[in-house]
Amino acid sequence: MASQPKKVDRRKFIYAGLGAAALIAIGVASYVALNPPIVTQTTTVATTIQTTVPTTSVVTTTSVATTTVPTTTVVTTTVPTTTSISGKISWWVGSWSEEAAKLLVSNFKTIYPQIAVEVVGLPWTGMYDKMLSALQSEAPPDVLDVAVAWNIPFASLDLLLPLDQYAKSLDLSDFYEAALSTAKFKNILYGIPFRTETGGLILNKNILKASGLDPQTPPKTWDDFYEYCKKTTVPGKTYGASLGFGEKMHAVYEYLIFLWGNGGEILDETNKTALFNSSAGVEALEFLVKLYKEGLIPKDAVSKNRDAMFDEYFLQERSAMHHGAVYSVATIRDKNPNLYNNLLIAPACKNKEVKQYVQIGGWNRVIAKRSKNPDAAWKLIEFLSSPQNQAFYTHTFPGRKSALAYPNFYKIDYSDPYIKSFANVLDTGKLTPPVAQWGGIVDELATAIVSALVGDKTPKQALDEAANRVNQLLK
Amino acid sequence: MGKAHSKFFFFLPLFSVLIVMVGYPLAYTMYMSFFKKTAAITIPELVGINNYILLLQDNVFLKVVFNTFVWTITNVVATLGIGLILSLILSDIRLKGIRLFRMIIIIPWSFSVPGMMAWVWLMSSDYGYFNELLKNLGLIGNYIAWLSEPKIVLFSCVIPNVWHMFPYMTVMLLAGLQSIPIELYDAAAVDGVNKVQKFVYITLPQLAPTLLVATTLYMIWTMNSFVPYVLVPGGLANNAVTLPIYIYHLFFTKFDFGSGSAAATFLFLLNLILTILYIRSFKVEWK
Repeated sequence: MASQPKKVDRRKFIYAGLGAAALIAIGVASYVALNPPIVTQTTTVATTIQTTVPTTSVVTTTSVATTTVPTTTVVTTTVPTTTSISGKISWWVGSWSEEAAKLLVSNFKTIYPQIAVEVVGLPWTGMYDKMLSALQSEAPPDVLDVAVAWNIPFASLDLLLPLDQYAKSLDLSDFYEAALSTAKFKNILYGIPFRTETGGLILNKNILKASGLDPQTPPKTWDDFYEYCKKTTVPGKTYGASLGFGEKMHAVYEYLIFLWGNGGEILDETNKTALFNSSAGVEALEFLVKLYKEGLIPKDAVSKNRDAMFDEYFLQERSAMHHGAVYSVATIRDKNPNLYNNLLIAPACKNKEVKQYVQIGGWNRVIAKRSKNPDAAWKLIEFLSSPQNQAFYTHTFPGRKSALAYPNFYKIDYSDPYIKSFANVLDTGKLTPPVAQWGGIVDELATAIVSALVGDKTPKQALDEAANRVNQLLK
Repeated sequence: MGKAHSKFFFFLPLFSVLIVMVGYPLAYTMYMSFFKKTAAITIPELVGINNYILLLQDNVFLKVVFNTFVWTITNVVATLGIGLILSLILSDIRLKGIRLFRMIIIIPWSFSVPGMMAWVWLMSSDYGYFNELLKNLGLIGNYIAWLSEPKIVLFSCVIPNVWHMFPYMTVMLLAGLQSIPIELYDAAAVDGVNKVQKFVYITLPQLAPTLLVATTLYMIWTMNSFVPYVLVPGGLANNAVTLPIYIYHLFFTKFDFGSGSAAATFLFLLNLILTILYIRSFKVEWK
């Protein structure tokens, strides 16, 4: 027998609903009463910040025992000891920097006890999307560590706070000019560089020696590079170079080395027209296609990014050469000491007598335009931008020159000759075009590069098509 | 309060949630599809249906739509096939340890999509276990670059996805199989019906409602899947790019909100067709 639906008295139902709502309201009210929100007192412009006369305070940093950084580093920072700025702010960092960030925040609290900082670590995967979405919301994080490639696009979308007024309290002349330019959009400063890096060619001397090459002489020209690749490639064992095109940004970075090394440019001087399909650009891509077709770089170079190629090939001594950066050297030191003792660092190869630029990469610190407490956010950035704290926090080089003299949380020894060879070229760093459409350019150019590598199109055809699309984007 | 009004009153919270969470974003996306808005053009310009026309004239978009159909159909066919075979095996309660197998089979489904990154290593062209296994079995001569060959990359992405999703299909179909009255098979046995006839004339028709519901739902999920992006983030020159990934790039990489909205509306319409099919499947009278 089918059961009859249970009848519910409407009045009782409404009373029960009202009762539940009242209980929820009481609960919420109790929670708010027990957890009063931190009163946020904000001022509108940086110049109105009330500060007392700066005094010199001593900040003690205790690092974790697993690092070789002196367990107690005395950091002397000149900062205001009292201020009217208070409130709660959030700071989004890469998860790989979370530990160092928390240590710095604990120091920050000793100077600014009235500012509460919540550190949120984000993994690399999905970091860009999360930041872009959060910046567009009404309650974004206050301070964000952003990759230099994201700084200008975020600024172009009007998501970041201009920092020119605030930055007057910093000695900007101490920052690398190329690094600062990654944070400028329409000549307005939108970020403070805290990590700067450049690339170079890292070679495995063991493989060079075994292949009959002079382990002390790196390749200088494309012809040398090709010859080195030919000689060091042993099918099933080693490859000449572990280049990685499997992530769009990395594909463009690899290509840029050869484009600039052949006298080419991505865009013209006005940043309105694509130039990468010039003869210099086509030659650069033809050279890469030659390497790929002849099996001198791994097949998976088109589906794996530069980091994966480094981990799976160069670090495992399965490739002779790799385009790496300072962090590559630090990783090799920690994970393959034998390889570390047999490294050779050299500038990237070029094809013509042109100045070989080094692409500048790194990270900047920004404030969300919709931050509810920009003054407190700036106080945090100001604190983190001291030479000592910049040196402490970076995984590569800091954003300012004077920071090179201070110890680093990640054991990067700036007196290490390998590291020094990267530092020497910091001032010759070249920036990718500072245009809002950079993301679109990367998308089109990377697709063209990979389609030529896998043989879907010829290099010229692929670059011409990409140039047409990029020109449409730039209109 | 009249009866009709009180009904409306009780549905109000649901309507509010639907309007805020579904209606507004959907309407706004459709609205934005008639505008040109990019990182450079921050004030939207009304362009009518131009975004749709440009998309349909774009070879990349057409390739991506083709990829989406190939990706969806291949996944559905493979998952359905494996799911059906396994559910038939697992429905036989006479087998020893059947409960244990039913539990074990769920494991791949418990992996998150990023957890499927392990497949990138398994399918590595030089050092992947997949190649090693196939070579030892004598199925391939040379190692295959599963995720680096334009012609096979999309099918290579299907393998991990099927591995991840076949438990879903198996469980759904197993539930369907268990609801078939045993009397039908008993009667068929009396009539001397063989196993193939039992499957064709009893199992399949009885399983049809479950098959349609599970397949439609799976098609919607697969069409919106980001698995190819997890395995081949660069898209291998658009050979491993499906519609959701393409839309993601339009929005998040190119900041082309107009074209992105138009492409998203296109994907919505495809999903809508499948959803209507899904809803109608409940109303089908199976004879």
